[in-house]
Amino acid sequence: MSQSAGIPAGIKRHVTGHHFDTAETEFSAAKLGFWIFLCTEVLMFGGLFVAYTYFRTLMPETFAEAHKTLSIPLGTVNTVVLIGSSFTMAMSIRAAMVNQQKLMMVCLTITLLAAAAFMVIKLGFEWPHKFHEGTLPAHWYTYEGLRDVTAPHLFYGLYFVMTGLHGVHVIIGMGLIVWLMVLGKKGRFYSGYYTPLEITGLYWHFVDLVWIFLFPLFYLVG
Amino acid sequence: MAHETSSNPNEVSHQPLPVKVYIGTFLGLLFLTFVTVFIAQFHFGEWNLLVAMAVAITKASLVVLYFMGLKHDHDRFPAVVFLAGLFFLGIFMGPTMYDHFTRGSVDATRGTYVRVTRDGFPPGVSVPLPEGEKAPAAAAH
Repeated sequence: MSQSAGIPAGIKRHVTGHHFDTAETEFSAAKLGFWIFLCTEVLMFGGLFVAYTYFRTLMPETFAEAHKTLSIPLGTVNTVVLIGSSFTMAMSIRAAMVNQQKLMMVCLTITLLAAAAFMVIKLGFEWPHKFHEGTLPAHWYTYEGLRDVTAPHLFYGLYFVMTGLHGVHVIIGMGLIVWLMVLGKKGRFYSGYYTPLEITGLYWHFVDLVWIFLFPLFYLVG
Repeated sequence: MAHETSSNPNEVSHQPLPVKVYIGTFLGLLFLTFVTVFIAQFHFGEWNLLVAMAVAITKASLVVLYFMGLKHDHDRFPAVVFLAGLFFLGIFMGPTMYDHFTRGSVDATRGTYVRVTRDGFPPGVSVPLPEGEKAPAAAAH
Protein backbone atom coordinates (compact mmCIF):
# COMPACT_ATOMS: atom_id res chain seq x y z
CA MET A 1 0.00 0.00 0.00
CA SER A 2 2.87 2.34 -0.73
CA GLN A 3 0.68 4.47 -3.00
CA SER A 4 -1.79 5.47 -0.27
CA ALA A 5 0.59 8.27 0.70
CA GLY A 6 -0.94 11.05 -1.42
CA ILE A 7 -4.53 9.89 -1.34
CA PRO A 8 -6.74 12.33 0.62
CA ALA A 9 -9.09 11.17 3.35
CA GLY A 10 -12.71 10.73 2.25
CA ILE A 11 -11.78 8.87 -0.92
CA LYS A 12 -13.59 5.60 -1.48
CA ARG A 13 -10.88 3.11 -2.45
CA HIS A 14 -11.62 1.10 -5.55
CA VAL A 15 -12.20 -2.65 -5.50
CA THR A 16 -11.53 -4.41 -8.80
CA GLY A 17 -14.46 -6.31 -10.30
CA HIS A 18 -14.34 -10.02 -9.44
CA HIS A 19 -14.06 -10.96 -13.12
CA PHE A 20 -10.75 -9.12 -13.49
CA ASP A 21 -7.34 -10.19 -12.23
CA THR A 22 -6.02 -6.74 -11.56
CA ALA A 23 -7.16 -3.12 -11.74
CA GLU A 24 -4.73 -2.73 -14.65
CA THR A 25 -6.59 -5.36 -16.73
CA GLU A 26 -9.89 -3.79 -15.77
CA PHE A 27 -8.72 -0.35 -16.87
CA SER A 28 -7.31 -1.59 -20.20
CA ALA A 29 -10.43 -3.61 -20.98
CA ALA A 30 -12.73 -0.65 -20.34
CA LYS A 31 -10.55 1.57 -22.48
CA LEU A 32 -10.33 -0.89 -25.37
CA GLY A 33 -14.09 -1.37 -25.27
CA PHE A 34 -14.61 2.34 -25.50
CA TRP A 35 -12.26 2.67 -28.47
CA ILE A 36 -14.32 0.02 -30.26
CA PHE A 37 -17.41 2.12 -29.56
CA LEU A 38 -15.59 5.16 -30.94
CA CYS A 39 -14.97 3.18 -34.16
CA THR A 40 -18.72 2.78 -34.62
CA GLU A 41 -18.97 6.53 -34.08
CA VAL A 42 -16.30 7.14 -36.73
CA LEU A 43 -18.37 5.10 -39.18
CA MET A 44 -21.66 6.76 -38.24
CA PHE A 45 -20.27 10.26 -38.80
CA GLY A 46 -18.24 8.81 -41.69
CA GLY A 47 -21.43 7.99 -43.58
CA LEU A 48 -22.46 11.62 -43.32
CA PHE A 49 -19.02 12.80 -44.44
CA VAL A 50 -19.30 10.50 -47.49
CA ALA A 51 -22.69 12.06 -48.28
CA TYR A 52 -21.14 15.51 -47.86
CA THR A 53 -18.25 14.70 -50.22
CA TYR A 54 -20.62 13.16 -52.77
CA PHE A 55 -22.95 16.14 -52.97
CA ARG A 56 -20.14 18.67 -52.75
CA THR A 57 -18.41 17.22 -55.83
CA LEU A 58 -21.79 16.94 -57.57
CA MET A 59 -22.67 20.63 -57.04
CA PRO A 60 -19.57 22.59 -55.96
CA GLU A 61 -21.05 26.02 -56.80
CA THR A 62 -24.03 25.35 -54.47
CA PHE A 63 -21.65 24.65 -51.57
CA ALA A 64 -19.45 27.63 -52.46
CA GLU A 65 -22.41 30.01 -52.38
CA ALA A 66 -24.49 28.50 -49.56
CA HIS A 67 -21.61 28.34 -47.06
CA LYS A 68 -21.44 32.15 -47.11
CA THR A 69 -24.70 32.27 -45.15
CA LEU A 70 -22.96 30.61 -42.16
CA SER A 71 -21.27 32.87 -39.60
CA ILE A 72 -17.49 32.35 -39.47
CA PRO A 73 -17.10 34.36 -36.20
CA LEU A 74 -19.67 32.19 -34.39
CA GLY A 75 -18.13 29.03 -35.83
CA THR A 76 -14.65 30.14 -34.74
CA VAL A 77 -15.81 30.98 -31.21
CA ASN A 78 -17.43 27.54 -30.98
CA THR A 79 -14.21 25.89 -32.18
CA VAL A 80 -12.16 27.67 -29.52
CA VAL A 81 -14.77 26.85 -26.85
CA LEU A 82 -14.68 23.16 -27.77
CA ILE A 83 -10.87 22.99 -27.92
CA GLY A 84 -10.72 24.70 -24.53
CA SER A 85 -13.18 22.20 -23.07
CA SER A 86 -11.08 19.33 -24.44
CA PHE A 87 -8.07 20.81 -22.67
CA THR A 88 -9.88 21.16 -19.32
CA MET A 89 -11.21 17.60 -19.71
CA ALA A 90 -7.66 16.29 -20.19
CA MET A 91 -6.53 18.37 -17.20
CA SER A 92 -9.30 16.98 -14.97
CA ILE A 93 -8.12 13.43 -15.71
CA ARG A 94 -4.55 14.41 -14.94
CA ALA A 95 -5.68 16.10 -11.71
CA ALA A 96 -7.39 12.88 -10.59
CA MET A 97 -4.23 10.91 -11.38
CA VAL A 98 -2.18 13.12 -9.06
CA ASN A 99 -4.90 13.28 -6.37
CA GLN A 100 -5.80 16.94 -6.84
CA GLN A 101 -9.53 16.38 -6.44
CA LYS A 102 -10.35 20.09 -6.14
CA LEU A 103 -8.62 20.91 -9.42
CA MET A 104 -10.41 17.94 -10.99
CA MET A 105 -13.82 19.34 -9.99
CA VAL A 106 -12.89 22.84 -11.19
CA CYS A 107 -11.79 21.47 -14.57
CA LEU A 108 -14.95 19.38 -14.93
CA THR A 109 -17.08 22.44 -14.11
CA ILE A 110 -15.29 24.52 -16.75
CA THR A 111 -15.74 21.69 -19.29
CA LEU A 112 -19.46 21.56 -18.53
CA LEU A 113 -19.82 25.34 -18.85
CA ALA A 114 -17.93 25.33 -22.16
CA ALA A 115 -20.20 22.58 -23.48
CA ALA A 116 -23.22 24.63 -22.43
CA ALA A 117 -21.75 27.73 -24.11
CA PHE A 118 -21.27 25.73 -27.31
CA MET A 119 -24.91 24.66 -27.32
CA VAL A 120 -26.14 28.18 -26.48
CA ILE A 121 -24.23 29.60 -29.46
CA LYS A 122 -25.55 26.84 -31.72
CA LEU A 123 -29.18 26.66 -30.58
CA GLY A 124 -29.55 30.23 -29.32
CA PHE A 125 -27.83 32.20 -32.10
CA GLU A 126 -27.03 30.18 -35.23
CA TRP A 127 -30.11 28.01 -35.66
CA PRO A 128 -32.81 30.64 -34.88
CA HIS A 129 -31.20 32.88 -37.50
CA LYS A 130 -31.56 30.04 -40.05
CA PHE A 131 -35.15 29.33 -39.06
CA HIS A 132 -35.85 33.02 -39.53
CA GLU A 133 -34.18 33.25 -42.95
CA GLY A 134 -35.57 29.94 -44.18
CA THR A 135 -32.15 28.40 -44.92
CA LEU A 136 -33.54 24.98 -44.00
CA PRO A 137 -33.48 21.43 -45.39
CA ALA A 138 -35.89 19.96 -47.94
CA HIS A 139 -39.31 21.57 -48.38
CA TRP A 140 -38.82 23.85 -45.37
CA TYR A 141 -36.34 25.81 -47.48
CA THR A 142 -37.78 29.27 -48.19
CA TYR A 143 -34.65 31.45 -48.51
CA GLU A 144 -34.69 33.97 -51.37
CA GLY A 145 -30.98 34.78 -51.56
CA LEU A 146 -29.67 31.72 -53.44
CA ARG A 147 -31.73 31.67 -56.61
CA ASP A 148 -29.06 30.80 -59.20
CA VAL A 149 -27.53 27.62 -57.72
CA THR A 150 -28.88 24.04 -57.87
CA ALA A 151 -30.60 22.54 -54.83
CA PRO A 152 -29.22 24.71 -51.98
CA HIS A 153 -31.61 22.96 -49.57
CA LEU A 154 -29.28 19.93 -49.83
CA PHE A 155 -26.46 21.94 -48.27
CA TYR A 156 -28.69 22.87 -45.34
CA GLY A 157 -29.92 19.29 -45.05
CA LEU A 158 -26.32 18.16 -44.57
CA TYR A 159 -25.57 21.11 -42.29
CA PHE A 160 -28.49 20.46 -39.95
CA VAL A 161 -28.08 16.70 -39.82
CA MET A 162 -24.31 16.78 -39.29
CA THR A 163 -24.11 19.64 -36.77
CA GLY A 164 -27.35 18.35 -35.22
CA LEU A 165 -25.95 14.86 -34.64
CA HIS A 166 -22.79 16.49 -33.28
CA GLY A 167 -24.94 18.67 -31.00
CA VAL A 168 -26.70 15.56 -29.67
CA HIS A 169 -23.27 14.19 -28.81
CA VAL A 170 -22.39 17.40 -26.96
CA ILE A 171 -25.62 17.15 -24.92
CA ILE A 172 -24.92 13.49 -24.08
CA GLY A 173 -21.39 14.54 -23.11
CA MET A 174 -22.79 17.17 -20.75
CA GLY A 175 -24.87 14.47 -19.08
CA LEU A 176 -21.78 12.30 -18.68
CA ILE A 177 -19.78 15.19 -17.19
CA VAL A 178 -22.55 15.83 -14.63
CA TRP A 179 -22.38 12.11 -13.76
CA LEU A 180 -18.59 12.43 -13.31
CA MET A 181 -19.06 15.44 -11.04
CA VAL A 182 -21.53 13.51 -8.88
CA LEU A 183 -19.10 10.59 -8.56
CA GLY A 184 -16.23 13.02 -8.01
CA LYS A 185 -18.12 14.70 -5.18
CA LYS A 186 -18.62 11.27 -3.62
CA GLY A 187 -14.85 10.81 -3.68
CA ARG A 188 -14.70 7.99 -6.19
CA PHE A 189 -11.78 9.25 -8.31
CA TYR A 190 -8.12 9.20 -7.31
CA SER A 191 -4.76 7.98 -8.54
CA GLY A 192 -5.82 4.34 -8.10
CA TYR A 193 -9.12 4.59 -10.00
CA TYR A 194 -10.25 7.05 -12.66
CA THR A 195 -11.69 4.82 -15.43
CA PRO A 196 -15.00 6.75 -15.91
CA LEU A 197 -13.03 10.00 -16.21
CA GLU A 198 -10.63 8.51 -18.74
CA ILE A 199 -13.44 7.07 -20.85
CA THR A 200 -15.67 10.14 -20.79
CA GLY A 201 -12.52 12.08 -21.72
CA LEU A 202 -12.09 9.88 -24.80
CA TYR A 203 -15.72 10.51 -25.71
CA TRP A 204 -15.37 14.24 -25.22
CA HIS A 205 -12.20 14.46 -27.32
CA PHE A 206 -13.97 12.51 -30.05
CA VAL A 207 -16.77 15.11 -30.08
CA ASP A 208 -14.03 17.74 -30.46
CA LEU A 209 -12.50 15.67 -33.27
CA VAL A 210 -15.74 15.65 -35.28
CA TRP A 211 -16.10 19.39 -34.89
CA ILE A 212 -12.52 19.90 -36.11
CA PHE A 213 -13.71 18.53 -39.49
CA LEU A 214 -17.21 20.04 -39.48
CA PHE A 215 -15.92 23.55 -38.90
CA PRO A 216 -13.73 23.96 -42.03
CA LEU A 217 -16.03 21.89 -44.26
CA PHE A 218 -19.14 23.95 -43.54
CA TYR A 219 -17.96 27.36 -42.41
CA LEU A 220 -14.66 27.91 -44.24
CA VAL A 221 -14.60 26.06 -47.56
CA GLY A 222 -18.21 25.17 -48.16
CA MET B 1 1.61 5.89 -19.92
CA ALA B 2 4.47 4.29 -18.12
CA HIS B 3 3.08 2.02 -15.47
CA GLU B 4 4.82 0.35 -12.64
CA THR B 5 3.88 -3.14 -11.60
CA SER B 6 1.64 -2.53 -8.65
CA SER B 7 1.51 -4.86 -5.70
CA ASN B 8 -2.11 -3.82 -5.25
CA PRO B 9 -4.57 -5.59 -7.61
CA ASN B 10 -7.36 -3.15 -6.71
CA GLU B 11 -5.75 0.06 -7.89
CA VAL B 12 -3.93 1.21 -11.00
CA SER B 13 -0.68 3.08 -10.77
CA HIS B 14 -0.12 5.34 -13.77
CA GLN B 15 2.42 8.07 -14.29
CA PRO B 16 0.59 11.14 -15.65
CA LEU B 17 2.04 13.14 -18.55
CA PRO B 18 3.56 16.50 -17.67
CA VAL B 19 1.12 19.44 -17.74
CA LYS B 20 3.18 21.12 -20.48
CA VAL B 21 2.18 18.36 -22.93
CA TYR B 22 -1.50 19.31 -22.52
CA ILE B 23 -0.82 23.05 -22.59
CA GLY B 24 1.33 22.63 -25.71
CA THR B 25 -1.40 20.61 -27.44
CA PHE B 26 -3.99 23.22 -26.47
CA LEU B 27 -1.89 26.12 -27.79
CA GLY B 28 -1.09 24.17 -30.96
CA LEU B 29 -4.81 23.61 -31.60
CA LEU B 30 -5.59 27.29 -31.00
CA PHE B 31 -2.80 28.34 -33.35
CA LEU B 32 -3.98 25.97 -36.10
CA THR B 33 -7.56 27.22 -35.71
CA PHE B 34 -6.29 30.75 -36.21
CA VAL B 35 -4.27 29.63 -39.26
CA THR B 36 -7.19 27.87 -40.92
CA VAL B 37 -9.60 30.81 -40.36
CA PHE B 38 -6.97 33.26 -41.62
CA ILE B 39 -6.24 31.30 -44.79
CA ALA B 40 -9.95 30.93 -45.56
CA GLN B 41 -10.12 34.68 -46.21
CA PHE B 42 -8.04 34.28 -49.35
CA HIS B 43 -9.25 32.45 -52.41
CA PHE B 44 -6.88 29.94 -53.95
CA GLY B 45 -9.57 27.79 -55.57
CA GLU B 46 -9.04 24.10 -54.90
CA TRP B 47 -6.03 24.84 -52.68
CA ASN B 48 -8.33 26.25 -50.00
CA LEU B 49 -9.88 22.82 -49.46
CA LEU B 50 -6.48 21.08 -49.45
CA VAL B 51 -5.00 23.50 -46.92
CA ALA B 52 -8.11 23.38 -44.70
CA MET B 53 -8.09 19.58 -44.73
CA ALA B 54 -4.33 19.40 -44.05
CA VAL B 55 -4.80 21.70 -41.04
CA ALA B 56 -7.85 19.72 -39.84
CA ILE B 57 -5.96 16.42 -40.08
CA THR B 58 -3.02 17.94 -38.15
CA LYS B 59 -5.42 19.18 -35.45
CA ALA B 60 -7.17 15.80 -35.32
CA SER B 61 -3.79 14.06 -34.94
CA LEU B 62 -2.87 16.35 -32.01
CA VAL B 63 -6.18 15.54 -30.29
CA VAL B 64 -5.89 11.78 -30.88
CA LEU B 65 -2.20 11.46 -29.99
CA TYR B 66 -2.03 13.70 -26.91
CA PHE B 67 -5.51 14.46 -25.53
CA MET B 68 -6.76 10.93 -26.20
CA GLY B 69 -3.35 9.58 -25.27
CA LEU B 70 -2.92 7.19 -28.18
CA LYS B 71 0.78 8.04 -28.30
CA HIS B 72 1.41 7.18 -24.66
CA ASP B 73 -0.92 4.21 -24.16
CA HIS B 74 0.98 1.30 -22.70
CA ASP B 75 -0.50 -1.12 -25.21
CA ARG B 76 -1.23 -0.69 -28.91
CA PHE B 77 -4.74 -2.19 -28.98
CA PRO B 78 -6.62 1.13 -28.95
CA ALA B 79 -4.44 2.43 -31.79
CA VAL B 80 -5.03 -0.72 -33.87
CA VAL B 81 -8.79 -0.50 -33.27
CA PHE B 82 -8.89 3.17 -34.18
CA LEU B 83 -6.81 2.71 -37.35
CA ALA B 84 -9.09 -0.19 -38.34
CA GLY B 85 -12.04 2.21 -38.02
CA LEU B 86 -10.29 4.73 -40.28
CA PHE B 87 -9.43 1.93 -42.73
CA PHE B 88 -13.09 0.96 -43.05
CA LEU B 89 -14.03 4.61 -43.45
CA GLY B 90 -11.53 4.65 -46.35
CA ILE B 91 -13.24 1.63 -47.90
CA PHE B 92 -16.54 3.46 -47.54
CA MET B 93 -15.30 6.73 -48.98
CA GLY B 94 -12.84 5.50 -51.64
CA PRO B 95 -14.90 3.27 -53.93
CA THR B 96 -17.95 5.54 -53.53
CA MET B 97 -16.03 8.52 -54.81
CA TYR B 98 -14.20 6.45 -57.44
CA ASP B 99 -17.57 5.46 -58.87
CA HIS B 100 -18.81 9.02 -58.62
CA PHE B 101 -15.83 10.53 -60.45
CA THR B 102 -15.65 7.94 -63.24
CA ARG B 103 -19.31 7.85 -64.23
CA GLY B 104 -18.51 10.20 -67.14
CA SER B 105 -15.74 7.97 -68.48
CA VAL B 106 -18.06 5.15 -69.40
CA ASP B 107 -18.70 4.84 -73.14
CA ALA B 108 -22.44 5.32 -73.32
CA THR B 109 -22.79 3.42 -76.60
CA ARG B 110 -20.92 0.29 -75.52
CA GLY B 111 -20.92 0.34 -71.72
CA THR B 112 -17.14 -0.13 -71.67
CA TYR B 113 -14.64 1.86 -69.68
CA VAL B 114 -12.26 3.83 -71.91
CA ARG B 115 -10.25 6.97 -71.31
CA VAL B 116 -9.28 8.69 -74.55
CA THR B 117 -11.41 11.19 -76.40
CA ARG B 118 -11.00 11.47 -80.19
CA ASP B 119 -12.45 13.96 -82.61
CA GLY B 120 -15.54 12.68 -84.28
CA PHE B 121 -16.26 10.02 -81.69
CA PRO B 122 -18.39 10.12 -78.54
CA PRO B 123 -16.48 11.13 -75.38
CA GLY B 124 -14.44 8.29 -73.98
CA VAL B 125 -14.39 6.17 -77.13
CA SER B 126 -10.85 5.18 -78.01
CA VAL B 127 -11.50 2.49 -80.58
CA PRO B 128 -13.13 3.43 -83.91
CA LEU B 129 -16.70 2.18 -84.05
CA PRO B 130 -17.90 0.08 -87.01
CA GLU B 131 -18.88 2.24 -90.01
CA GLY B 132 -22.63 2.08 -89.52
CA GLU B 133 -22.56 3.21 -85.87
CA LYS B 134 -20.11 6.06 -86.26
CA ALA B 135 -22.34 8.84 -87.52
CA PRO B 136 -25.38 8.48 -85.22
CA ALA B 137 -23.22 7.89 -82.13
CA ALA B 138 -21.09 10.97 -82.84
CA ALA B 139 -24.18 13.02 -83.52
CA ALA B 140 -25.84 11.93 -80.30
CA HIS B 141 -23.04 13.49 -78.27
